[in-house]
Amino acid sequence: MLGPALSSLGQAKHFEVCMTLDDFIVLVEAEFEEVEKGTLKADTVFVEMKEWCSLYALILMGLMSVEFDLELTGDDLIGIKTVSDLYAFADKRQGISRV
Amino acid sequence: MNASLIDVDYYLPDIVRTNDQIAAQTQCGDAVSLYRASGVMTRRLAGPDEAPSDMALRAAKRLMTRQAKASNKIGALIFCSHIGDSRSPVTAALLHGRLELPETCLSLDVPGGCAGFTNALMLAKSIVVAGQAAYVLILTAEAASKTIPEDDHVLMSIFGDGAAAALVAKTKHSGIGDFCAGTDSAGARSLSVVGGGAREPLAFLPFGQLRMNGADLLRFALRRVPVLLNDVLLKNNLTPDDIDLFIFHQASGFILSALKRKCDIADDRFLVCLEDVGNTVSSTIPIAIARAVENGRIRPGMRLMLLGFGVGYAWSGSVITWTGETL
Repeated sequence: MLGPALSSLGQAKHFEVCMTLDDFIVLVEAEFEEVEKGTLKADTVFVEMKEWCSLYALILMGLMSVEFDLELTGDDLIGIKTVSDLYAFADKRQGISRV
Repeated sequence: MNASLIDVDYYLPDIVRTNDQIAAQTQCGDAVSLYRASGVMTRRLAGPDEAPSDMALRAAKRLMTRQAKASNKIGALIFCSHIGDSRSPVTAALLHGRLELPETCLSLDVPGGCAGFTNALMLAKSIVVAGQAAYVLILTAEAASKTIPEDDHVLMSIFGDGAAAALVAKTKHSGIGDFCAGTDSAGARSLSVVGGGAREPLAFLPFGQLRMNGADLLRFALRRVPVLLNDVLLKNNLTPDDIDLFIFHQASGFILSALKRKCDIADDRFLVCLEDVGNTVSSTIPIAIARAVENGRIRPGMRLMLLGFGVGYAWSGSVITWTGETL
């Protein structure tokens, strides 16, 4: 856990985030510049997106770290096929679906 | 005894490489996609016969023209580069001669990669505070282009060549804070220059071949840099609001953007100096400082946080107060 100094930069607020799957989809979609808004679904398979490229994998790794302080590895990504899978990954480690 | 970073200057070689040129040469991507991934539009390349020490010399001469009164009082020269003139003697000793520095001046090569400048700054401060020298000249010079295969569009788009010179001086007030530093050799293979030595000489890249695992580096940066930032603040009894400008190693646009978000730093307090120079390894931070001084973004009295991180993995950082002094 980071110390008090960084907390005042707003660090802490991100890692207490709870969100629904729908909110999570919006969050992920906002990271993909070329993807038309509203087209990403829970069952969208990442690698089947026409825009998918290696940069998108980095974008997902960055997103998980920035928003949830989670490390997403290449090995993790092999098992994460869909947006829903990614949500389950974040939920399992950070409990983001808790109410 | 106190020390301050009192002046910085830089040199960029003349050859410009554009994203269009990289896309055409490698048959990969296009200018826009290369920019999106790297944050770099153009970068400079050292000429075929231009050694990093040549670039360092030019940066040093620019700085020493302005700080002429210090030139015969420099007690230590620290040269930071991955490509020296030869295995021996150290390139700092050769630069010492070319700069006509005093015979009593210590000359050290300290190749530190992405954390090279902040490592050298820590060493320079230590030398001054210990009373061993009144002035220390730090020279960083990198030519990563000489270690990148001609078909690697990713590395070609990220890295650029360039050099910087920085002068650390004994001062009445302390202008350089306490440092935090560390190493994690688990990341040694994530960014490295392989071959080019006695074990594995390479005919096509005589200085070795740069290899990078971008995903590993991204995770390392996002894991380590926020902690380093926090550690530096705590060690110097500062809060984030005490920092006027955060200057990180300019790794790539993507990494910088992710770090800015994770550390929750506002745009106007986060320096990005990448678009027309690329990642110049140990030279990124001093080049960023020098350019920000040039364009007025850094002004005397401002407190800057400098964080270097990368190859090793290694990291170091501190805070400085910019004085903008001319001797």
